[in-house]
Amino acid sequence: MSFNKIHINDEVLKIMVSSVEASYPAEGCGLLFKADDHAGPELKVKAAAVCFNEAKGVSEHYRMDPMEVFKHEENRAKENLSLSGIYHSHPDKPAILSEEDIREMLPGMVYIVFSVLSGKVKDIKGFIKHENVVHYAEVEVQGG
Amino acid sequence: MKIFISATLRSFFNREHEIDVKGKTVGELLENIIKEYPDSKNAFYDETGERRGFIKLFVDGEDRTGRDYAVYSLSEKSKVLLLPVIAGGAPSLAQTEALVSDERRKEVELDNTEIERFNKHLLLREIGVKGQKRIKAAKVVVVGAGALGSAVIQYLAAAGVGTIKVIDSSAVALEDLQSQVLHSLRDVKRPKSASARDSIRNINRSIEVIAENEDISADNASELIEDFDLVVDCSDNFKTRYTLNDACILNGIPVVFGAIYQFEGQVSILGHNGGPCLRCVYPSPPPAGLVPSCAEGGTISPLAGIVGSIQANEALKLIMGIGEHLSGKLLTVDTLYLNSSVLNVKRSCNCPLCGDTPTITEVETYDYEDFCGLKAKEDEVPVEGFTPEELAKKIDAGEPLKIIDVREPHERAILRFPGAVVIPIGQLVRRQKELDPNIDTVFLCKQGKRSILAINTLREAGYTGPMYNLKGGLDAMKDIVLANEGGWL
Repeated sequence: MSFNKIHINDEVLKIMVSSVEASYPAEGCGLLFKADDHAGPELKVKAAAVCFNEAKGVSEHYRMDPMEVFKHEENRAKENLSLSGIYHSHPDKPAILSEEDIREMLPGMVYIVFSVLSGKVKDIKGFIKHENVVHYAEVEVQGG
Repeated sequence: MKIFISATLRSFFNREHEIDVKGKTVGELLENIIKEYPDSKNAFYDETGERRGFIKLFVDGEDRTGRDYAVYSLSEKSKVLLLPVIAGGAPSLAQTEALVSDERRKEVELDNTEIERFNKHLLLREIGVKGQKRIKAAKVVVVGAGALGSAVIQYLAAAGVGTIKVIDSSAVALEDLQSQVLHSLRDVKRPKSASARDSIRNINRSIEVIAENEDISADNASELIEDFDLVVDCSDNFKTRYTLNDACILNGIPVVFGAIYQFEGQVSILGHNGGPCLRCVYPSPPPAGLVPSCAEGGTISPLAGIVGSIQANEALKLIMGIGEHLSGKLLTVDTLYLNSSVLNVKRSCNCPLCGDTPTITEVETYDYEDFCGLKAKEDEVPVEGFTPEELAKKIDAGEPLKIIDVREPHERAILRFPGAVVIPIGQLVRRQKELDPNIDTVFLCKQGKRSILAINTLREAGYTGPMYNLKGGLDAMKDIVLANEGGWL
């Protein structure tokens, strides 16, 4: 299954934006969750979890500890939410996927990339890899 | 044994949260997982049979994925998890959206002649009709129609940039023809900007060319670049570079920077998408006169063609938004030993222009000497000097004089000053004992600037003898030296 549109509400977006701005000039990263019973081609992001960037010292990289990801998954499962995507930031670089991003993409997962220029989020783009091809996924922010 | 499957990997395991597979060791377990869930083979191995990096097997909280763990024993109580490694990186070089927007691209059309002329661009997937239209809609300023400008202007014109403004206040000299391939013998003594305009028209008559026969200054810089998409800096002096940099950053126009010296060149993109500016990369220029300019230091003929061509290439990529480019990077090329490297350069939060608390908010008249800390202090004794004619008279009259040539040894090979003692500027303080404080000492260099620096350096070092500068340097005295060479020897 492949999503072609990503809906994010203001509240969840705020969590992501403040986390990637706070980690500037390093990359920030985190996870996106949807409702377990969610279906259809448009993803509705219900929650976001900020993750520790293990590769903070290595400039222009991010890596999450698999056990931390697992703990978030376990906790959110109690709220009937399941992991459906990943977000990360490109400090002073545009919101496009790097070659490394594309190589490391997990099939079916939604990827949101923030461009953070001089400490402020300037752009946001969504991507998904389906059958080894990367597609754009439109990001729509909803109030409330 | 129950194995937890992360949501990120469930597409390989029939979307199950948990699977039940037997295995006494990690190796056995992996084999059995693939046997029961054949799809999962694609998660563990890529098309060539190599292990993928993005999937990890954790046993009781520890990563047991590596080959060494194949024999690692498992017990029924082991908590086994299949987890993803989530990682990535920013693009190594910056990529960007096109400087020329879609709206502007849609406003231009390519006629049949243009389709024929730009056929080789249209054949490229990355360029095509859309890219060529962006190039046609683009408006580019090239500052300097000298050596770098020659390559930049000709390639931008050949590539079909719709509007090109050339700014240069100097005239073509015979010595320029060694590297400034934009001009030819019949252009000597003509303004470079006019010669550049003619060359562009000879390439493509439909290009709008604006030739500005003036210098960039604080008063006109912003006006000269207004409404343009991009500036290509092909200037040959620090004053122009810093003034231009300030004007571009303040007006939000990116700069393709290029510089050459002897056999080496540099290219970068400044002030683009939050990237660094010239003041971030080089907070201050070297003291006036210390580093010879191209006019003084020399360059090998094709160097400007190499560096200028890279600048033109970067400019076109920025216009179209294709590939990766040199924003936040400095490309250095050494053509003598064929080395090149790309260095990372970052925006500085302390930059007075584009830092967190900028102090420069408008283009200011740039006081180069003050900026380098070279401005004469009020109590400083001004440097006295002789004109070439005065010096010639003293030599002819046989007055006791000591002449010190502070140029580098290789420069001396071009034109020797008869009877001069050669002490390169860097060795002066160490070798001041060779000077005689009881007789007048004259210092000379190519253009009369480094010799002033030499006199000030010696004064600071405590030398008290009478010192004079040859005004205008050997360039100004060349004819007299050549006419008198026999007599003075």
